[in-house]
Amino acid sequence: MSKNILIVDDSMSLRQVVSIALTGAGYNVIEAGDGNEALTKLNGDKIHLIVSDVNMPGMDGITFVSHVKQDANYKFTPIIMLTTESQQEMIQKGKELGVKAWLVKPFKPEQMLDAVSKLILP
Amino acid sequence: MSARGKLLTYGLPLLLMLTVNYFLLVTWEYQVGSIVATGFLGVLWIAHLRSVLNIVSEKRQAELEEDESTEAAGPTFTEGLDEFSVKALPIWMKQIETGRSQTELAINTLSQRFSGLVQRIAKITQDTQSGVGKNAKNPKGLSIDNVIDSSRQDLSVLVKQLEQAMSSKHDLLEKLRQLQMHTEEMKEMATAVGKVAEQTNLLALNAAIEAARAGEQGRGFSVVADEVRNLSQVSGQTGSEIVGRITQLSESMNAVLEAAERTRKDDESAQLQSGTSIIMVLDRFYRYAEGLEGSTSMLQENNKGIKSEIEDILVSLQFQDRVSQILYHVLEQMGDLASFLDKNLEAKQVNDACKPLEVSKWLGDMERSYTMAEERKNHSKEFGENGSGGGDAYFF
Repeated sequence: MSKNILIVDDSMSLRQVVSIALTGAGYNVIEAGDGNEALTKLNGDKIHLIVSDVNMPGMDGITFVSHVKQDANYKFTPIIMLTTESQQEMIQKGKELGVKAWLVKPFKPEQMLDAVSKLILP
Repeated sequence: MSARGKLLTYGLPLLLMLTVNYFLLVTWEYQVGSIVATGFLGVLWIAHLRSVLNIVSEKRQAELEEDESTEAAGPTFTEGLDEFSVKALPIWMKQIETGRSQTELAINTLSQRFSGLVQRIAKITQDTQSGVGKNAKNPKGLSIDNVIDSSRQDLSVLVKQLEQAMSSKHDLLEKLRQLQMHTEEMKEMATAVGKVAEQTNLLALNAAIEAARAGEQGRGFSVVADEVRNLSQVSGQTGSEIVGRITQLSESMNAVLEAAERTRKDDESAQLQSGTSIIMVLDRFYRYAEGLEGSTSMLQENNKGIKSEIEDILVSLQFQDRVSQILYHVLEQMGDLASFLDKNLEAKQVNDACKPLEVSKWLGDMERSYTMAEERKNHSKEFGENGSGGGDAYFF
């Protein structure tokens, strides 16, 4: 059974790019446009991994991650931040919140697949 | 001397003097004009002129002091705007230029990659037909000609949209350049006004000294007084030009904001439509490649090539997200400035104190709003670290 990955990004083209890379490798992709929408997708279904942007209108990625970490069903779900943000303070903040990887856009598909395969449980 | 004679000799000049004095109290410009008129009345008026000049000098001094105290109590409408504009506009121009060059680079890369894809697929077809890949076939019945033709159509629409996005960014840059010119002019005029005020003050003081010596050199005084009037007029004209420039500046700011908003909307629509076109094209190529059940090494090599071309396309496509963020930040910063100016304008209209534009605070806020290494680099020349052009990965 293919693993479910939730992609949270306000840019539709970016979600599509991630989606092409992941579905091509056999993953099942669920998309959300910001943190608020992403929280509605966390409705008890099994999510194996979350890929989230940081800067988004509505609910930003950092707030979204804090919510996920307080949810008993998803607090151990691995999270990859995929963002243009490259400041060390922000990366440190992500680490403290418990995210597992921080990828700076633009990313290469193989880089994403490498990160996903390292974090997702077989 | 008859009573009538006395009246004409002393009374009429006295009446005139009283009338002049009345007007002297009305406005600064009128006072100076009056000085010139009264200068022709001769020695009889010298004592009066001395007092007038003293009033003028004192009044001007009081005005200057008042200006200084006003400055200390509450800043003027445009205080800090010149300095901020001179510093912020080049940053905004660099940010937009970054967006434009990234768009251009992405268009070139995408065109090359798509043409690479087409060539690779054409090669597969050629090999298949010539028997090199005779095992290759497409059971879904997709013809390469159809794939290429429809892809070409989709891509030409996409390239047109991307070109449009680029031209609207060019338009925005032009508007910003015009805006920068206005602020430069305003700065020059503000300096000119300062000089005029300084010179007027000096001349008024000179005139006071001249008036003290007027017993001997009454004529010299009238020349000085004339100059004071001229300068005062120049000062008044420059003042109204500044008001005109502020109006133009405000109009230019609105035009820039409209252009920025248009660019953002164009980008959004290009993003939606190009996203759909590209997904269609990539899907089509994937389906075609999947359909080829070839096993020759040449076909396998070509399929690897196709995969690599598509991966490069996926990297290039991310430019939209980056450019959109740069423009969003510029737009947000311009919007903040526009609403700050609006508030000050409203305060000025009801004679409330205007807020000064704290340049270093505004520039600091701008810097904190950035998310990308390029934006920070554009903001600061000293920037050297965190020079990420993307692709960095951190694991915890």
